[in-house]
Parts: sequence; structure tokens; C-alpha cells
Amino acid sequence: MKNKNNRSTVASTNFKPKALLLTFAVTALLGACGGGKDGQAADAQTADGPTAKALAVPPGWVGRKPPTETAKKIAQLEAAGILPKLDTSNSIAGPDVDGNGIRDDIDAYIEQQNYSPNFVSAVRQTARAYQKTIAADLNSSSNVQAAKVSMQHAIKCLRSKSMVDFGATGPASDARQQIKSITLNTKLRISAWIEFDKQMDGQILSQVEGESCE
Amino acid sequence: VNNALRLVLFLVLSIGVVGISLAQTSSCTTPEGVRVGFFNGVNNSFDDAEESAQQLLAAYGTVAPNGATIKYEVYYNTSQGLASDLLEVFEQRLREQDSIFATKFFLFHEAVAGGGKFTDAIKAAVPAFAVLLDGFNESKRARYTVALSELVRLIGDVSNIEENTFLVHVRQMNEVVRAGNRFLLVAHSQGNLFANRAFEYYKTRAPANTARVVHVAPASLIMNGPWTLANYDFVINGLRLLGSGVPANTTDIDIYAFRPRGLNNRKDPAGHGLLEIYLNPALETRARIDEHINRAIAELSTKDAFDTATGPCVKVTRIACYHSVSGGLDWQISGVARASNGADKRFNVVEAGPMVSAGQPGISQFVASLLVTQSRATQCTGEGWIPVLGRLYDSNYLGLNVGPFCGRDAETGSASTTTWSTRASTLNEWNTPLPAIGVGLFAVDSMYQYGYRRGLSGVTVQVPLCPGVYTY
Repeated sequence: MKNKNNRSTVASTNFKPKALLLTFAVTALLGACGGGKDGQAADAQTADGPTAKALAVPPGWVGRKPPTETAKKIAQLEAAGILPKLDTSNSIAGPDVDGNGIRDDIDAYIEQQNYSPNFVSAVRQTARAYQKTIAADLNSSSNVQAAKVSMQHAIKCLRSKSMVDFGATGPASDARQQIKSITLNTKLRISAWIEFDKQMDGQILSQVEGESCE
Repeated sequence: VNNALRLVLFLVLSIGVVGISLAQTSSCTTPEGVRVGFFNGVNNSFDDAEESAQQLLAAYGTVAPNGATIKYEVYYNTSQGLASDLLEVFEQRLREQDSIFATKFFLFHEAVAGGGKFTDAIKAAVPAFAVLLDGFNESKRARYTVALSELVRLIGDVSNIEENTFLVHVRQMNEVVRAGNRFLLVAHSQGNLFANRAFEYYKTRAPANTARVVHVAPASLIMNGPWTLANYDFVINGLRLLGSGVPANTTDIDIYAFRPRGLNNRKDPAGHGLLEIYLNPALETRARIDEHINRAIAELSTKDAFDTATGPCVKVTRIACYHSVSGGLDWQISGVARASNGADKRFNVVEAGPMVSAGQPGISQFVASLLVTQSRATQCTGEGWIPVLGRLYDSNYLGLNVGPFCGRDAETGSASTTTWSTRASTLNEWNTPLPAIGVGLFAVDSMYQYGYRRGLSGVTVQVPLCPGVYTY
């Protein structure tokens, strides 16, 4: 977790707490407005202030302009916590202000999920494992190996906790998939993951022994 | 005092004898350990492959019904370039949608996995998003099929397996052989192509009957074991349509709409996933795979699968034993072993013997039992030559590892005594031409052959008690 900027492709972290707060405010506003103004909202291209920012066309965008209805629905889902609000900065590692090895937006998502104390620790371990893989220095075999083994233990731990809480491993798969999806939430991060996975090509993943939960 | 010393000595010896008997019983009845090598499917990232291996462990356990230990490991292979390709496709699909989706790359892995919580939420709110997913799924399935087809074409022959990325896999297989374990290759999808190649390599290092292959959703026509292939596996069906040879479907499954979720709580529209489809307890594919894997484990862990291999003839020429400083006996047994091609090789066995002393019965058999487990007099001609059941390996390379090696009683047919073995280098099988070498070193496990006798084919090597050197 301490070497998240070791990759040569990593851009500098540009986490801006104020911007994050603003985004929260915007989505909350959109969520609050979602009830009775459908179909009457200003067009995204002419809206002012935060709304315009939320619905703005991204640089280089060549697709259709965002219809307000779709944008509003997505914003409502985000405001309701159904969709995660994620950091999309141009950094592989992303913001981790508390230095717990988990990106802050991932931390916030996990916090919202009402997992049991038993399960949530394993989910956090999984989040750290994914973060380790994309932040790993691929020139360091020990670093790569450590990230690999962390992932193996995290999967094993999550499965065991899932069996305790749910009597099945399906919830573990669900939780892992969600953490993986939101951790690898930009093209840059997905590409970093793919690069790490290439390092695993031709490797052996031996059965991990002993206690896997951190 | 003398009586007290005698009593202490008696107790020590008695405990030693009991220990020896237990050791012998244990080594003869404990089945061989099995290593399960899992060869992952197309576009499985390593975390998915790890989860699959852990599911296999949960399904088939770490101890077989006969007590054999089972260990699992992933022989990981990526699908070169496929993930990056799919990422480009996904981005393109996003761009065809509303710009609000421009930064929604967190949907990528769900799309690859065939769906998920976030995708479901968006589809419910924005039905048009389902069109994106349908298009992506079609692209994904087509790319899987093409990737597998390319792999079939590109994958090298056995001679290439030691190159580059396969080196680690090769080393691991050599380690399996050295450890004396049996090898079960479980392959899914593209993993079958790699597993077939691995199996071909493994057979050059160890007897073929020490390994089994179980094929799941095979992307290859070559089958080295039983296979399971679902009728609605559209990836493999697509491969068949492209003209690639694949085996016949074996098992019917429900169509997607009626298909229950799999072990990972997901459904696979392509009908190809290991956890979604093939190991899904609610589908018949699982029962078939259970039968294949359980049977393979049972067969592999039975010692006879290995021990009935033809072995060399052995002639003992010298036996020496010494009192060791620890109070036991150190044994050295020298002789000549003759391979089926007539090549001779001298050997020298060294081992610390059990705690024995004058008056202990059975000591004369304990060397003989090292050498003989079955009467095959016609195989070995010439005075003093005796057959050895099982295989010996040229251990001039690494050869100091030791493994129990059960024989079979010629009269009763039951598994009997520990004999000897090397878990040695196994780089050259015995029946290959032996190099002109000097003394090989075979370590012997468990020379605790107290009281062993049956099935010795008339061979008795008299070994007077130590110390001494005896030449034959």
C-alpha cells in the first residue's frame, strides 16, 4: 500500500476534498429534485453551475449529448447509494487520506453496505488486495509476489467469512466482484490491472495455508 | 543395577519395535498425495482463477476418502491481449451511449462477468443500457471463440513447453514428480490446451499412470481423460462452427432464462463459465465432473497405480552396518541394478537403521524386504538377481529424497511392505539408456522391516548383526 506510485504510468494524485464535497452536494441536489421535475429540468447544455458540471460533456466526447433524464436517473442512483460515487482522477492509486491502503471512495462505499463486522473486515482486506495489485511495482518480483499472495489470502478469507455469515460463498463472490469493479473504475486503473495480470501469466498459484484473515 | 539397565533397554527396544511396526503399517497403507493442477479458462484473470481453485478445494476437499492428502494449485495462463481488446470494445460501446456513461468504467468488469449489482441497477433505471450490454456480450462471446481458435492454432508442441512463460509450470511439474505425488490436471476452456501440453511433458518425467486429466468445456479435440461439455456452451459451439475440432457435447443444461445462478452467484449468458455453469450444483454438469474428479483422485491415490510398474533387477553385492553414535545402526547396501535394456548401474543405499540389537528377530529379513516384493523370477536371470516391483529412477542428479514405496505380496495379493524408493530427480526413467556413471545414491525410507517375510521368492539375504561388512 505504500508503493502506489511506483508505476511509471502513474499520474500525480489530484484528489481535491472540496471538489468531492461539491460532487456530493450536486448529486444530493439532483436526488432531491428527482421527484417532481422530471421532464422539466433544464437541458444539460444550458444549465448553470453545478448541474452543468455534473452533466457536462467530457473532453474528447464524440457520442450523443446527455439527455437530462438519463443523467438525472444516474445521479439519483448515486445519491441513493445504489451506484457508487467514485474517484475518477488521473491516478492509478487515487486518494487514500487515512493511509489504510484503501482508496477513500472505496472506503466510503464499504461503509454504506451494512456488512456485518465479521464480513466487513474481509471486504476491506479484499479492497486492499486489489489496490496492491494495481499499485504494485512491476519491476519488483517481491512486490508482485506479495500482491499476488495478498489476493489469494483475501479471497480465502472472504469466502470463509461468507460461509460464517451466509452459509454460502456466493456473497463473497458478489462482494469481491463489486470491490474489483469499483477499484478498477477508470481505464487507467483497468489497464494497470491488466498489466499486473500479465505478470501472472505462466505462474503457479499455490494453495495458501494457515490463517488468511488479517 | 544390571537388571534395571536390562529393563530400561527392554522398554526402549519394545517402544522402538512398536514404533517400527507403526511406521511400517503407516507407510504401507497411507495412500499417495495428490496434487490438483487447475488450468484456468479463457479470459480468467488470476483472481478469478484463484477463486475457482478454492471452489475446487471446497468441493473435493484436502483429504480423499482413502486418507490421501490433496493440494491445489493454479497453473495460470492469461488470454493474451483479450482483456485489453475487450476494454477497447467496452469503451467504444460506452461512447455510443449517452455521455453520462463516459466515466462509468466501473461497469467494465461486471460486463465481462455477464452482469452484476450496478449493472442491474442501471438497467432498471435506464433500459436502453441493456442494449449496450447485449452488444458487448455478443462481441465478448465472438472474441472468446476467436481467441480460443487462435490458441489452438498457435499453441506449440511439447518441445516448446520449456520456453519462456512455461518454465515455471515445468518446474512445478518436476517438483510434483520429485515429491512423489500424483498429478491431477483439471482444465477448463483454454486451460485444456495448456493441460494437454503439460500432460505430454509430465509423461516424459514420470509414469503416465501417475497422472490423470479431467477436461471441462474443452477447447481442444485431444482428450487425455473424460470430459464434460454443455449443450448451451456457446463459446465452444462457436469454436465448432469455426471448424476447430472439439469433442461432442455430453450434458444438457437449461437455457439462460431458466438457469439457476452458479457458485459465484452469477449466470453466464455464454454458458461457458466454470463456476456459473460447469460446477453449478444445480446443473448436471456438476455431477458428471464430480464423478470424473473423485474417480481420478481415488485411482491416483492408490499406490498400485504406481507400484505395478515394471522395475529393474537388483543384485546386492555388499552390505555394511555400523553402530552409529546415536545408538542405532547405520546401513549401507551396495549392489547392481539392471535395467530392461541390459544396462547396469551400481547403487549404494545408505540409511540410519532402526534401534535393534542382538536377539531381535527379523533383522535378516529387513534388507531382503528392501529388494523384493513380488515373485517375478522369469524376469531376472542369473544367480542373485531379484526383481524389484516399482520403478527406480536414475538419481544421479538430485536423488536424495525419500519416499515410502509399498509393494504387493505375491501370495496374498495384498499390499505389504515398504520397500525402497527414490523420490529422486526422476530426470531419467530407469528404462531409458543409463549413462555410464559411477555410484548412484539411493536413499531408503523406512527400513523398519521388522518381521517382514511373505512373497520373497526364495531370496533371503542373511545379514549378521553389526558391526561388519559383508560381501556377496
